[in-house]
Amino acid sequence: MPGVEYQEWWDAVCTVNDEASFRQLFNHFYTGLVRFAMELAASKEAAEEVVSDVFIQLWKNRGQEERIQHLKTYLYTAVRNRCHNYHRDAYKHQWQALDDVPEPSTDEIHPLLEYKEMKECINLAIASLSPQCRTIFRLVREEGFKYKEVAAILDISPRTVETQLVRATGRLRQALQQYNRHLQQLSPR
Amino acid sequence: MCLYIREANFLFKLNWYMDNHRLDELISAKLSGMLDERGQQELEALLQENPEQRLILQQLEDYWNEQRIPAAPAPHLFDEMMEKANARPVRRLWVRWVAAAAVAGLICTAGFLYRSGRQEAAQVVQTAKGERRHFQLEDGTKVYLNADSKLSCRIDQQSREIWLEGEAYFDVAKDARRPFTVHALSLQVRALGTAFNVKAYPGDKRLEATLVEGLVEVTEEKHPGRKIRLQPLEKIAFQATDVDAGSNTVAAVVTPVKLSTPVLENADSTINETAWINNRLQFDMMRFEELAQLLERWYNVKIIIQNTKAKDYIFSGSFGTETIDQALTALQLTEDFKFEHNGTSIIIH
Repeated sequence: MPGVEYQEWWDAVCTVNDEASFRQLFNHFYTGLVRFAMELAASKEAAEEVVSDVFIQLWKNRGQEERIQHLKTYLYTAVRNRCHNYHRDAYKHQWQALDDVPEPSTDEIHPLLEYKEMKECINLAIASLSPQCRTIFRLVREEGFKYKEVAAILDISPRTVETQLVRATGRLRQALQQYNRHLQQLSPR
Repeated sequence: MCLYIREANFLFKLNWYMDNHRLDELISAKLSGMLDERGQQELEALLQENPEQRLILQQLEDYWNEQRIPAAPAPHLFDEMMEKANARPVRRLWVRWVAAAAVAGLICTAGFLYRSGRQEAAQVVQTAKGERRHFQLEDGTKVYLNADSKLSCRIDQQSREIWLEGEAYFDVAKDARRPFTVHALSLQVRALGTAFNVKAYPGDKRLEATLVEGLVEVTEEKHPGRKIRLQPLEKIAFQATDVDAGSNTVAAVVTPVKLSTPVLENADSTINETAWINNRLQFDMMRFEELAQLLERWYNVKIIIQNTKAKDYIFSGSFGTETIDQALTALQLTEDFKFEHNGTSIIIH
């Protein structure tokens, strides 16, 4: 489970200003944060700028007496806040319709065609979710956040997080149900 | 359940829906690792009833637990970021810019000037909460940027265009050939050789422009044909609706208001709207809720007013070198409230 090592890196950054550890932190979180930023408000360029700014701030504040405790939640919250401030022409915090956000590359532990098809079906269902619902689903699944943490990051209630996640599950379940029935029709046992 | 089917189709449907919804809840909890023993049993019972769902759960779990190795970012991204992170070690000192105004002018000129010749590049200056900055643009215009604000500009042979989020005071260098325009959320302020203040924080209830001297023309994007000219020491405010959504839609246009002369003798005879450029926070007959927002930006703290009645307390006053605790203690002289300061947040009881 990733997550243990970044605390050590962060400690090294705070205590001995270790730049190499800071690079590790940056590499560890960068891609996920940029993806998150793109979902919230911004173009790819803007998202990258927002994430860089957050790390600049983090580096500058590394010596602060009160050390940031939950680094990951802090980073996502900071990115969300900056995205919020980012768009001077889109005054509103916008959930972007994101067909252009790339799925992170996955290693091929399920090379089977069947699995690929099933995944395709799930991805289609995810694409049909509302942007907010999709982001919540992703934060819980891919970033491993708890409901409360997602709620804090997005500044919504934990109840909403749960509702949205249940909604997402329902949608995926329906899609898989159709998919499985379809398969059965094609190849009756 | 069989009973229900015979008795009423409706009840069957309702039951079916509830089973499904419960199933979604249980599966969500299972996927995110929050299903307890009892939930696990309940899920198992539901799956017994709906064997078809067992396969689906399996598929969802496979998908959920699929290992993901995100691509590492290109190495130069980190290097570029660090270059910026180490570039401005003097940042914190800006809080005292008034005392060091002359020096500040020099450093700012060196550091933030837009280089003429490049057409597209825009200069961006940003302040954190609790931070204020003072600098000069390439055309000689002096800018005071208040806390939690962001300014970018594009200056070329034909025009001077500024984009602002937050609050800034402009002392515009005279140049009749190049109009000076500030775009602040939905406001546009056009000026020729003049000094004015623009306040437009995203999420705030009001957008304001205050003219100190000269002449400006204000337009709001919902009413492009309606140009409002301000006389010196006049202010125009727009009320935003739907603030919670942060949309800053403008509901009503308030006609210009004559500014009152300063009430407090020690206030350096400045008007409230621009006192901040002299490092003073001035406010007049302001609701506590609104004032708290101001204090948050000024002191970089989070203020939570737990007592609903306190939100409607009205305060007038002026702060300079006081700390946030001193400021709140001063406010306590006027109205009855208690506050508790832990770390970066303050709770008002």
